[in-house]
Amino acid sequence: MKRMTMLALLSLGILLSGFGWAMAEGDVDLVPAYDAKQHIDMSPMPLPDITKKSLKNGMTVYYIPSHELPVASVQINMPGAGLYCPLDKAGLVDFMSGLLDQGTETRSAQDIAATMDFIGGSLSVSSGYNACNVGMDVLTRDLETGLEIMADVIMNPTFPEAEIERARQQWMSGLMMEKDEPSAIADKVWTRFVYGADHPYGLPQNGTMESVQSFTRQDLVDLQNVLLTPKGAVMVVSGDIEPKKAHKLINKYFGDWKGNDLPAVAHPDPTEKPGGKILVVDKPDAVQTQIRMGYILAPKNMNHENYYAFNLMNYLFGGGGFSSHLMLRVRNELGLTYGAYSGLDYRRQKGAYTMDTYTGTENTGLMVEEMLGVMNNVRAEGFNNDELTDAKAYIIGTYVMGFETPAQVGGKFITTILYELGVPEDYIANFRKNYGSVTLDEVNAAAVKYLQPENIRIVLVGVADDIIPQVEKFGEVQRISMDEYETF
Amino acid sequence: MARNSFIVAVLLLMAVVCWAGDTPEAPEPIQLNPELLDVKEHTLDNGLRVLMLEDHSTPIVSYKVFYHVGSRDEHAGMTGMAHMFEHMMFRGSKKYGPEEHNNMVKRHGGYCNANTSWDRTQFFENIPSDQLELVVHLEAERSVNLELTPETFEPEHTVVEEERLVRVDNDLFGSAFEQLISNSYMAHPYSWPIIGWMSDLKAYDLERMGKFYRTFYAPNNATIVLAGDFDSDKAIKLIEKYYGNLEAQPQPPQVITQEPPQQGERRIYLHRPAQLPILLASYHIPASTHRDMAALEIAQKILADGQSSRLYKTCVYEQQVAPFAGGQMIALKDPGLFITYIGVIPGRDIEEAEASLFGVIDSLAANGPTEFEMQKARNQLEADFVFSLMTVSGKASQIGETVVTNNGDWRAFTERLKDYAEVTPEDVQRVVATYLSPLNRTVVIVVPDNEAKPVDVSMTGGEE
Repeated sequence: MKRMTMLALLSLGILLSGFGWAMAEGDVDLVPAYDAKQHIDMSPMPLPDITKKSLKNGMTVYYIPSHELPVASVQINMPGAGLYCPLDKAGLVDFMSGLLDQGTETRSAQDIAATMDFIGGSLSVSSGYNACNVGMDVLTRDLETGLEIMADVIMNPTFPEAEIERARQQWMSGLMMEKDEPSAIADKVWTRFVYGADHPYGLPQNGTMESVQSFTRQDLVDLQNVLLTPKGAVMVVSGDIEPKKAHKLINKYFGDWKGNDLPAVAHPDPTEKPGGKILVVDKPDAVQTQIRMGYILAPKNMNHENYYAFNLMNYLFGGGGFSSHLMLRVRNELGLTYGAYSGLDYRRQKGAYTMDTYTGTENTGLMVEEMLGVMNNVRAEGFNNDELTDAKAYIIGTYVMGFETPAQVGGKFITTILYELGVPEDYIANFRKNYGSVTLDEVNAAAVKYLQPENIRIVLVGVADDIIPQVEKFGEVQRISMDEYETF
Repeated sequence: MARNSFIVAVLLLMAVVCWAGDTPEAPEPIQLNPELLDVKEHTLDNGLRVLMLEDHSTPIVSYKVFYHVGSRDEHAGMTGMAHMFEHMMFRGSKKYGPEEHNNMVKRHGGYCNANTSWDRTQFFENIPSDQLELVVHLEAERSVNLELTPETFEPEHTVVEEERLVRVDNDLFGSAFEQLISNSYMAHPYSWPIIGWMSDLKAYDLERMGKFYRTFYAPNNATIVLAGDFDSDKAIKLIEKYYGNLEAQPQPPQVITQEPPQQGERRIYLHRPAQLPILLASYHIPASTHRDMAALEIAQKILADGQSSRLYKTCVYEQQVAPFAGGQMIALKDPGLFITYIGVIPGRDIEEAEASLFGVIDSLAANGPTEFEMQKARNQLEADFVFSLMTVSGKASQIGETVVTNNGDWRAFTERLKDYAEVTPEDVQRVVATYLSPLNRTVVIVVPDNEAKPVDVSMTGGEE
């Protein structure tokens, strides 16, 4: 491979560089050699004692005790979220969740904030394209105080008009400031470009100037009634509390929570679009170009086809940070950027496979060419067994690091259920074996199947006059101004 | 052990501080298992210091090397070199080629990275317990056997230039922050950005880099912190084995320059293409070891932690002049800064936002905090402390950062809670009035100006 040859030459160059001062200090090596043994542990991942319960209202609760520190974590995941956002109300789901803790039937926004701040706890409410999440971390002594607030904001939000207006102003200023952040512009434009404005995945989570102005209190109430339901919700209570005691508390605060089943999703999967299209957002004051490249590919669970092989392939191609083929080429060999990554958007329906990076304006064309070059090279030549073994060792070895805190364990359960990756206990237990058993042929086949240079679409944010001549050879270019990036 | 009973006493002390009125009572103190904070210490003959905190709950170890070199150890013409070195440490040594350090760690199931601050450069590995010897070997190797060659240096050099562009020159907040810090210090080396000035980045040469390495990457200028699933005696043996042959180097030059007291407000208007103005303000505060720092931390909590904090409540919630407002301490080895910032809601102007921000601070200086606020701040600090112990990486960071900024004394990490318990509302009022005063502040206002020219990043310096 061309790349490996270059690395070999580089290493040779180092050996020959006799003037290097480190060598000049003498031949005595002060640091003893060490022969490291690679050890890939494919045994079942041990799990703490876990108790699963179902509430009458349809919510599933997992209790994961751990007594190392006097802390407790409660997480609720309600699937649906962004998939149910009306197409003309971009951002509404996130706007609604942001207002949950801004007033209930018995508490003002400041009452809620003062109570949580006083106990030094955190209450977070967030939404995305896949789910609404409410999470809370508190010292165990404050668990009941926290639960009371948490249940209140989920079950009894009132969306006061004054708070809606305040939040709207905050959002509007956020949208204005976004115009000064090239990376945020690129993400927003990429979302709409790759998924299309006719699918909720194409709507920006922070809305648009137009959509945010249109939100009404009734919009929020209607959405809340659909999305905030215990039916299908998963809760994880973890930390320094016994399951029996915890279950009593959860029944006390969440037992009366009622809601309907989520309605059927109105949109089919986002559709694949023809490749070779390039969208350039003209930002005349930029000194770098932000780059996004990719195409619609698959849901997070890959429809259970080649899931493990695909993830290993992506790790080796561009997901694996400093050691990925992408990073080795554009950062380490060419010094074109500080970082370059690839990955599949986590979605319940089909998500986009995206490469993102940035480089100096004058290097934009070269960078696009190199990214495509790495993709083609990987497809043509595949990976080798050593690097695959190393990738497995990394993914398998670091897996245990995600089991350090009870909330991390809880998060793994939630993710597994949300993306339908399998029964959480089995998925987690077999994780190391499933990655360990993937063969090189399977990974190379995944590269050929899932890296699709012919389907690549590109978004560039930077100085259009300088960029366009560099990229015209890659496809049809559409140029838009900064005033058009939310509506093109 | 004596130290542990002391900590328990500290926690008890916090418990007996109660208030009357409508302030909720101080909660029962947190009782931590003393083993959680049982730091062991060992120093090699060559001056390398090792701090160890065992925690066997998960089979991983966090191994962090703190070199006591940051941007404060640079001077004009070589700014950013500490950060450049952080990058070069991954570019190969006698035994390993470029990126091999990273690859070796990863192929043995670990994760590694590094970062640079004003005071120190930190390298870390989080690894499965059975690979401890590998990382001790690898870190020792690059601490003395680094290879600096044109082949490894040139590409990394442009990587750092791109990093500067994305973090500073192409980022409005990054640019404003750089202006704030640089204009806050007229004499002390904290003045220049950690990433360095572009002209200096372009001018590094291998000879100066080599000298920098020998001076600062010495065993007597480093502290290793381990936290996690290992045996301390065995860890010491491993560290002796791989670092034992390294020789202590002459003490690096000490930073002499002290920042003279500020004698009046400094005000910078940064003209940039922007949609909305932003205001940042900094105030000089003492070094981390100063006795007023505990009161300043409580002031920071009262002013800026959570939606019930004074800045959020007043500027964002009540007056609705700003989409965000906050404040943070940059507590350092030498006197650092208390930073505050505020944005502006469209339709309001920056003068209103400024009046709102400074009004909140002036009010705290004039009237002091309430007892509710004092207890809330203590509870937040106590919870922060407990949450910081949840991961072995978090523990190692806490210990290491404390050592760096507290003249080598890690005990300040566990004794902090005692200091908070002793702070009175009068102390908070006094430190706010003393340090967060208009004469002691530097203000940067981002002025939206679409005629402003793009930043010249070529640094060629000539006229067109």
